[in-house]
Amino acid sequence: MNVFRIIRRPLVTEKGTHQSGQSHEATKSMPARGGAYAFQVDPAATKPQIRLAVEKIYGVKVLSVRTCNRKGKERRVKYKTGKTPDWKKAVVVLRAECHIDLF
Amino acid sequence: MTESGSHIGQDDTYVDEELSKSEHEKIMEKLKESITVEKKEIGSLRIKMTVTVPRETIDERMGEQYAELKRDATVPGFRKGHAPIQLVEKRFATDVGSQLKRELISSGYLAAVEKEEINALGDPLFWVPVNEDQEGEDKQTKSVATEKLLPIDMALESLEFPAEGALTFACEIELKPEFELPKLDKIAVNRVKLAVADSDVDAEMKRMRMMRGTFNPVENGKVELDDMLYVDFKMIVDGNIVESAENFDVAARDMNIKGVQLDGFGKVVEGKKLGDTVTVEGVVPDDHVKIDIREKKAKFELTINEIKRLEVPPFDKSFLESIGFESEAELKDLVRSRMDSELSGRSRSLMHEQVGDYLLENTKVDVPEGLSQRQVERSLSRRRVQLLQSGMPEAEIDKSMDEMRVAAQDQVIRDLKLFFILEKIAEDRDITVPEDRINGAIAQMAIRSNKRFDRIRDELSKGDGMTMLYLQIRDEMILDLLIEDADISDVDNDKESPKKKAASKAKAKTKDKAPAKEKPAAKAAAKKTATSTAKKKTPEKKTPAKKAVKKKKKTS
Repeated sequence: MNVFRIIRRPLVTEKGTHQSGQSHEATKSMPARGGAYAFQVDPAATKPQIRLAVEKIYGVKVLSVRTCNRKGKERRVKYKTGKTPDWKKAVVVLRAECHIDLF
Repeated sequence: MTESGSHIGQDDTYVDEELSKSEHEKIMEKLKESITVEKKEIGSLRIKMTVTVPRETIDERMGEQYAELKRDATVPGFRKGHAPIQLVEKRFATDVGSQLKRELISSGYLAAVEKEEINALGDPLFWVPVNEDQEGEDKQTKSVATEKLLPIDMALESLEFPAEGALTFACEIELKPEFELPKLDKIAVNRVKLAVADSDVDAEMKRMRMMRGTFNPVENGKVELDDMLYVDFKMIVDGNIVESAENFDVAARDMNIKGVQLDGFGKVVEGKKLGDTVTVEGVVPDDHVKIDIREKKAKFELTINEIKRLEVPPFDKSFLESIGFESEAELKDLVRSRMDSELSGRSRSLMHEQVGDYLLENTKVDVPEGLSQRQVERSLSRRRVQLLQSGMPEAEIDKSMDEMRVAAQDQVIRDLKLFFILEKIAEDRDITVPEDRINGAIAQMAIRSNKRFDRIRDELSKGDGMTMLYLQIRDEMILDLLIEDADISDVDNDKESPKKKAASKAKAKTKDKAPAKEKPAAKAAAKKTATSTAKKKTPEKKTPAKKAVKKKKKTS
């Protein structure tokens, strides 16, 4: 799968920014940990695919990848109900020396 | 609750205004310290100023703006005020940039003017790089980069805010002339004694009666001058009927029918009866709406259907009551007092004129060229509109434009010089117009035009009206003050004309140079004399009416 299809977009949110700023010193439980960056990824993408894609796109070294499937929200327009699509979120932890400039 | 809430709101805005005011002052102080200004004279009373705002000042202001924006910025994915500054900078870069550009250029200009103590006149014009389409040798349009002088609003759109380095802009400013005022006390002024004569009052009363007169049909009489005629007419050019109308109303005097001037029409129809047919000839002017009949002879055949004559109401109790008076003496008093105030106003304006002339003759003032040019153009376009409205053909106006320009130039320069002199006197003597005096003038205007006070005030504040009114009252106040200190000598009415001539020397000069300007004035004068002759002739008309009234009385 194309790397750019695996990583759909970085999630620039308050939580994501906070996590990306967490340095290796701040999280002593995981000594080799760099910042953690959240992305919306293709729901069919696997962790190894995501790791490869992030490494290729941003030129960084990935320590670990955590994923979760998010259910889409129910939406209603008058009497018609619908649903936003399900999506997959990936939190990619980088090595201490790596950094992604999202802004 | 709501009351206290609204109070809080008001207080807040007040505090905000105060804050922003002091903030503006701070920015100005900073700019004054940091900017560098280059001045270059480029003509009389005109300078080119190049202002450079250093990068540090720009960055500092930018940082302040972003910090302020960060507090209120709403960015999706973040709570209000929690978005990282880099993100805010990226998101609002264009908005902040254009706002900062506006602020730095306008405040930078003001700071430069204050720093260099420049006595600027009016708004500056900014040099702006523009791409203009020009036709090249191969007849293809190419965009060529040039520089143009533009007013600040347009310049701000075109000027670019530098991403790096200092901000530099150049502008051209006109300077207020610097001059010495002449001696302002004991100015020799002639006061003309103008008195209202009884004959003037009578004439005015006659005019009032004529205004209340009615046109009544004349059954078995002959046409007299100034009668109103209803005619069937045919306009014949080269044997063809070009225009015709039934029951067309014309007056028995020099007339313009369907664009053709018929001088002596009154004499031709005078003495004719109902049903009579009259033939008159005239020449179609070269600007007539119908092109094919221009400059040709036109024959008018008119058949008189009806004759109407102005009947002036008799000067009796019912007439007096109809205009709201009880006795003749009361009306006379009012007319006299009105004419008295008019005359005293005229004598005052004559004295003002003399003081103005003294100031102009004894002060050496240079007027900025650009400003006078703009004023000339403005006054010319105003005059053009006036002439168009008065029905003068456009071709004729264009012909006399050059002459009008010369006349306007003299007048504008005179007005501008007087404006600068009076402004300096106002500054020296610290003369300001009190609010109640402006309100009084507005109230008078409201009474005269029969409108509400606030309506007139709103109309005035829409344009430059309020400033103009302020300046007009201020000038009058200054001239009155100068007249108080003046050396006044009384002159009889008979001697008025030579003195007046001396006083309005400048006016006469402009008139000499300005035959074009004189033309409409002459026309107006001609019209006035025409109407006055018409008025003079009215007593003849009145006699039959009076006779009729007498007859009625006799019969009754």
